[in-house]
Amino acid sequence: MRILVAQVTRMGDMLQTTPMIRALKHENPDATITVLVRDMGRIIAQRNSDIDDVIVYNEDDMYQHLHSKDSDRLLQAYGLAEQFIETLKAGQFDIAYNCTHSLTSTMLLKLAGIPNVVGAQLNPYHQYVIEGNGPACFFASVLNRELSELNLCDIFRYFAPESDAQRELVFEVSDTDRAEANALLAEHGIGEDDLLVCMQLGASDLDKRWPAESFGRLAHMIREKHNAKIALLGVRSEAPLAEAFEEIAPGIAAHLFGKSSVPVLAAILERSGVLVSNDTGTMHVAAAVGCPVVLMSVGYVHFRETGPYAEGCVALERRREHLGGSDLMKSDPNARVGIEPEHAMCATNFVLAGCNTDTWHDVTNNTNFENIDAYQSSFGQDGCLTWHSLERRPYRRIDLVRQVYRLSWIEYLRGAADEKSDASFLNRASHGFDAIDPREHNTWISDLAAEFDALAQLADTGARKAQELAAGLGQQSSMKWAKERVTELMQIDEDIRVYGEVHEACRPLVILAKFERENLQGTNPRLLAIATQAIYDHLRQRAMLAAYKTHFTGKLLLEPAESTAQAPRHATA
Amino acid sequence: MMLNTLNEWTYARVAEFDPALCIVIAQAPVLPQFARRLRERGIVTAYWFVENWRRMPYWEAVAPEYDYFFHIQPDSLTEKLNAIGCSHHACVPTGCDPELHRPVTLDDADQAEFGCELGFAGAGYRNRNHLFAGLTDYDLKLWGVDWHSPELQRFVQGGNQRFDNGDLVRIAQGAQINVNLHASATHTGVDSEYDAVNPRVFEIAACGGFQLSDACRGLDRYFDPGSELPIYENLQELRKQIDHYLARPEERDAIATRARARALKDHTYDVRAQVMLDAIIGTFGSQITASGIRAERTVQDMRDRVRENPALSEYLEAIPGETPFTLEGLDAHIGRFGESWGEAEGIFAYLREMRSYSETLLASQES
Repeated sequence: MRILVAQVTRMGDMLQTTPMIRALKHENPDATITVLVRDMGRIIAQRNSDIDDVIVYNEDDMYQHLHSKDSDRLLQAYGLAEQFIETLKAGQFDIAYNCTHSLTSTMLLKLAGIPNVVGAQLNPYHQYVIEGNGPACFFASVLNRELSELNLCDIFRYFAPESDAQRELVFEVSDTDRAEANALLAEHGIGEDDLLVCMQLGASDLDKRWPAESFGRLAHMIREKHNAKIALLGVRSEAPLAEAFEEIAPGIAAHLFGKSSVPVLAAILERSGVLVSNDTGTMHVAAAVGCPVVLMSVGYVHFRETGPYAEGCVALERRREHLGGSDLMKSDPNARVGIEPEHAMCATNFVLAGCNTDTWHDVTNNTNFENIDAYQSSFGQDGCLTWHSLERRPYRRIDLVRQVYRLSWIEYLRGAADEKSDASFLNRASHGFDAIDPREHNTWISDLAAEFDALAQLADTGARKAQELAAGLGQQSSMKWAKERVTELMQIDEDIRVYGEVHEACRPLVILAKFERENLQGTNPRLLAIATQAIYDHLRQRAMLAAYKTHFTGKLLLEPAESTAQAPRHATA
Repeated sequence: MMLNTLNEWTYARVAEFDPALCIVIAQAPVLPQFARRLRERGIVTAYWFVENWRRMPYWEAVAPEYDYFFHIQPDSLTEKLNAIGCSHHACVPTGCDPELHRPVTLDDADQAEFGCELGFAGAGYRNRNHLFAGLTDYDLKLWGVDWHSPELQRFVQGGNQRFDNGDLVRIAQGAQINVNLHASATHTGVDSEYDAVNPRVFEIAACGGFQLSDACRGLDRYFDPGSELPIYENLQELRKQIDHYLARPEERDAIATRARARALKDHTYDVRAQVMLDAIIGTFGSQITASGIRAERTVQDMRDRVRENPALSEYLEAIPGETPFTLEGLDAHIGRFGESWGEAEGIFAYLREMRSYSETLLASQES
């Protein structure tokens, strides 16, 4: 079998796809796996022995030609696209896993004539559809990060539904890389026996950067307590960030900006005690080579989804009403501040001491964590990465919603219930919260379940209307009759959209269905009606599952407290 | 009121076309803030002031507004432009259009209408009325408006009306000698300070006409006075040269041939455009190339170039030849989602989507 994995986003995303690729390799040991990546992801793919071949996708040249709006350059863009499609065709792929949801990726895969696609794709009628439970979850999650509890790696893994849990990222470091790393560190006075602490000051966006001055103060503390050597990592363009660092901590860190390739960076991290980092590709490299990470989750970062995929990492986050949104909905830039170097120092000490949860309060000593949340990563019984709060904090409604989505998506992705794992997750999570008020909690449970039930009802109405329309069109009903049914369906679309706006907890489900509906185009009305019915059916099933998991969560968390909710088992999944 | 309306209309058309560069020609119906608004859209602006700055002082308000300012007077304006803060400027004279300004064969009727010893086409400025009054003993024909001198009335053709380009090329061809005199409202003959070479110099040369011109400053940069364009300083010298060349038709033809060759080589509007683009790109090249330079061709233009690509060739054959070969032009011929696509059509659909997505993404990042 010839498999193509399309991951045309960033370097970090390519790393987060590696567990899925490993799962595919385990499932299909004789398969040839090719990845389609942007240039920045090439080196990640090349350091992964699960991958047999790499195709680099470079749309920059094509875009430059198109942007010029010049006839000759349009022809050149056409030539580049045609050539690229020929490259894909030559791969003779049997199946492609599309790890993005862009229309262009679906078009490329279609033009390449790949017969089976998992993920966003164009169906035989050139309609945009999202096939597969994993891709549906991925799409709904990335647009509603605040309600997502699953790491992208776990979502990607379920693109291949039969796959086993793969609890690690893949990046292979060679002895040559290690030798180069040692030589580079030696140049900066860092010996092989020294405790090395790395810091990543940069990030793709200012909002995602913990202040460099704070890194400087932290570096002072680490050096004083652990006699550690500090190395600042990053690309050459990030070097100016070190100026603010140097004002606070002059001369105590080795500046390695732009001095290492990605493999040498990986080798440096492999021998480091800890990486203190913003949300970056470096963080994923660290997770891949076993370097524990202290993640400064600031701005619109949502570490639950994009954090390091490894056990024994810590994420720090200022407690606030709303957590990271999508990249296009940036949050309050003030969210960069609030976490003090003392908090990061506690996390660093905790990680360097081996991440024993029982010792958290010993390392934090008298440090005030009143408005700061600290989470530790581990793999749950369900095989997915979880982040457990190290400090008890109030249980909020949004915590309930996230837990419900986690349980719902995992069952949806697996296609089967595993309530033991669900119970294990909820039990562990409950240790991170203050005592739950049963009365308030019961209200949340019944309200949230009612919201999902009402959404399921709306979807059911839509499914029945669409079915009616498809049947009528098959019987050559009048145009007037068909128009009336279409108008009714449009009204249901609008009702569902408004429902999602009003009931935030339902938004991930609504937005997925809305996206599928909006991209449903074509000229055959009967096929459109059938596709519409399927969309509504899926929405109903997902909403019913969420309602069930709401009752389940309420029951588990309040046991043996009185829970008035009786959990009706859904008939789906 | 009218200027405001025209200004808005012009701005709207330019914005719609969304060029990388907009060159405004003198007397275009736009207000000074026109350039500012274009600049806000990332459009590089230039102004070609094809006027005599001494007679038209509005250059002072216009020049600082534009990224590049071109004028036609090589020396006298440079310091003044620097003084008002116009940092990018250059002299680019007017020129000729070989498709419009070319030799024509006169039939008998034309010969009767345009044939003469001395011809002139232009407005009857004061100095021209005076000078041509001294040439009434020749077979003289004058075209254009504002010829008021009583002694010239019998020489004025076409009822003191404007003439068109068709007339100009026949005038240039019909006159054995085309007399050129740069305009002055204050002088009675040659204005020895004049330095704005007029378009007629280049146009008559391109038409293959023989001409004698007054000694406009800078003219010798464009034509060699000895072999391509004889010049005169005053009426007396002009008459002397007229007599000389009327008696020597071969010499006239040889000079006119050389002048035409020079005009077509160095003084076409293509050449002028190239000079302006070189200057602008030399300074604002990165800004312009960032937004791209366009060649607009039709589907018909492209068909021959894609013969060896069967899928693309077949696709283009099905589209009207006059359709612009751009994504916008092809848009109506590219299927939507839910419709079936041919191979080439699918690639264009992909390119359209890719451009649209990238532009949306870039816009969101910029905002």
